[in-house]
Amino acid sequence: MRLYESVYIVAATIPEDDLPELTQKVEGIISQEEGLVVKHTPWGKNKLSYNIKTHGYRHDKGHYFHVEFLSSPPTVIELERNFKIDERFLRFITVKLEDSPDIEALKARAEEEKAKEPPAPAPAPEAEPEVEEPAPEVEAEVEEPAPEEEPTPEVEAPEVEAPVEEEPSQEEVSAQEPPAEEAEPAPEEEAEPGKEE
Amino acid sequence: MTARRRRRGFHRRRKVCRFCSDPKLVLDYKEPKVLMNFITERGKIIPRRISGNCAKHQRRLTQAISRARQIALMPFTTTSAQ
Repeated sequence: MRLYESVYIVAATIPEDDLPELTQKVEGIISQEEGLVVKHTPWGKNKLSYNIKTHGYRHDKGHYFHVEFLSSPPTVIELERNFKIDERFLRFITVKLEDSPDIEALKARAEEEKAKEPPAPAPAPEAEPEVEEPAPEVEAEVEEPAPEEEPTPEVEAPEVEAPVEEEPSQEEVSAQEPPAEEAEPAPEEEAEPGKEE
Repeated sequence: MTARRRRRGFHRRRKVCRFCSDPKLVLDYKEPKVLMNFITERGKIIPRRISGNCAKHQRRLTQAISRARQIALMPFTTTSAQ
């Protein structure tokens, strides 16, 4: 069993009333053979960055959905096969998050997520990474950050490991030399020299 | 030698990898807002000699941008007309 996540886009031409049918279809496929839907979030109707032409129609909007689920590799193949067959799905992407996840913890999390189903369409808790989380919000959504903490390996593992092996000196040097004030102006600079070239 | 070099009057700032210096900056294909800072107006990925990213983060950035493009969160390219 592995932990995956999928993002898929349903054509905006599909009326919103029909969306539950599609999400249930996705969950149904995942749930076969002991799969477990950990979290299924609609991101709402968003504008596409580029138009997608399918069967003579040019889509410029789509309903985005994000699923986090636990399953075996064949299930993913089956899921993607269905995405390809069904014309209502415009795009999909599946990413493996973890090879050997803590199944019990995920089951607990899945139930927590189910319990607080109604307040859904928020695009991921880390939507604004640059802003520090204000205290009141954290209290209001106690349940949201909590489950995030459990599968720490998925988030932290790569970050913690990598700096040690891959960037011994370079990172340290650059971290010391430039004082904090220089960290922020960087983005402006990066854009300008780009134009020059 | 000082870290700040001066070359004929204009000041060359030392570039820093923003992902190393700011741990709160999430590098994820689901966060196009962050990734948008690292592409040009035409949608091309800014090379690391200009953005100043470290090799590790530039690799992950490239991957994240590629994924974001797949699901139409980010453009492959934009025409100048737009």
